[in-house]
Amino acid sequence: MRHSCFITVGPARFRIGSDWRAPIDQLRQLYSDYPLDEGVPDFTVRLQATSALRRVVRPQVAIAGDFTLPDAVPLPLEQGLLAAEMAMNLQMALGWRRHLLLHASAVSRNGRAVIMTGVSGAGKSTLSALLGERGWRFLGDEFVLLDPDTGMIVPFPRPVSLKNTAISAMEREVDDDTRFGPVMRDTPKGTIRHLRPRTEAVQLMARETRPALLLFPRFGYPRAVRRVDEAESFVRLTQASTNYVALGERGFDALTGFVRAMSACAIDYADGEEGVEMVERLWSEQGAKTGARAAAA
Amino acid sequence: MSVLRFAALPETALKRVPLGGLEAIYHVPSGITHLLAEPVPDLLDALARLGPGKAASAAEVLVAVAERFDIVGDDPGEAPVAVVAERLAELAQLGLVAVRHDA
Repeated sequence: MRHSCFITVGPARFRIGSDWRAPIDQLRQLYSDYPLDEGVPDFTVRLQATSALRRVVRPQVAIAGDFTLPDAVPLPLEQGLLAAEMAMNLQMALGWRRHLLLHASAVSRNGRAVIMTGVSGAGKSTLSALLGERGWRFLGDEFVLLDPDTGMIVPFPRPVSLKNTAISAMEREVDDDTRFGPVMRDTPKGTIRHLRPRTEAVQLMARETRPALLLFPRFGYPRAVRRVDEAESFVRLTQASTNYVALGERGFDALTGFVRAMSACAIDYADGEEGVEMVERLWSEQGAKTGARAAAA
Repeated sequence: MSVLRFAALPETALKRVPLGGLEAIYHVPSGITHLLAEPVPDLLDALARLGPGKAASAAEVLVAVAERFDIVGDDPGEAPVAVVAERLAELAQLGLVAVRHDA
């Protein structure tokens, strides 16, 4: 490849190659706080032209690499950064075996994590991004990595993929414009802009965290809280995991241990402010229960 | 007419974890996870108590679980032994119990 860079996020190391310079420059800007040292990568991603002509004439970026989807549609070069992000997600989703992967976001405070999972559009990314600006450590907005051996959460704090109305919400929240990537319009998911997490989240990304609270958020609905039992949590998380089946017995042990160790709630919220307030409230209640149990013991 | 008899799988074939009122069961040979409600896990327990290689008919299993459960089918007229036989047959189809045909 003509242009390339290495990016390390949490335990995973990526080598990104490209036929064009622009996506690599954008990645270097977006990941400027991350380790970019060269070494043996876990995954290689290639952003390549669909034909020699397409490198210069209305350039189209096709995703290639260790793991690919046969029907992936090429993206215009202006969305090359998005292509790289999608390709990195794909490598993790299809190739990562060291941890149980949950399609979820996570933040932590005082060494204990809140895990938020839901379908695309449920607001888990935005909620984790908001909390990450308000005193919580951002652990990731796309994948939560659960260590089957220890039950700990391994941070994977990629830049947050903000979509549509979440972009303006986070632009109001974050003063530092250098933390944002380029605005990409008319993508398959609408308008997208990436936000680099706070520096501390990246500096601490090797520090694992114990899971404490599991939430199933749903954005855009009247306020509601419902307790979710272990069996429902288990079923929903098997659906939210990209590698539960591939991990076999390790995945079963990890996930059953995970849901049995935590309180879980489904929360509906109308907007980001209400979502943050609800997470804070549930967190306080959780802390009070934990404290009461410790006192009783 | 042959009588179906059921037996537990080897102990290492199933991993069972209670999750609230249900039970998650990982079938090691196939790698498939099942989520089962009462009284199905109790049927597995009853077969496991027989010991390795021992089999029981639905009627014998019914006796073993009758202390804990009033077995009632969707149809109130259905005999309890028929309900247990249906559940055991379903478990056999899933590969979670072994089945034998005794002449």
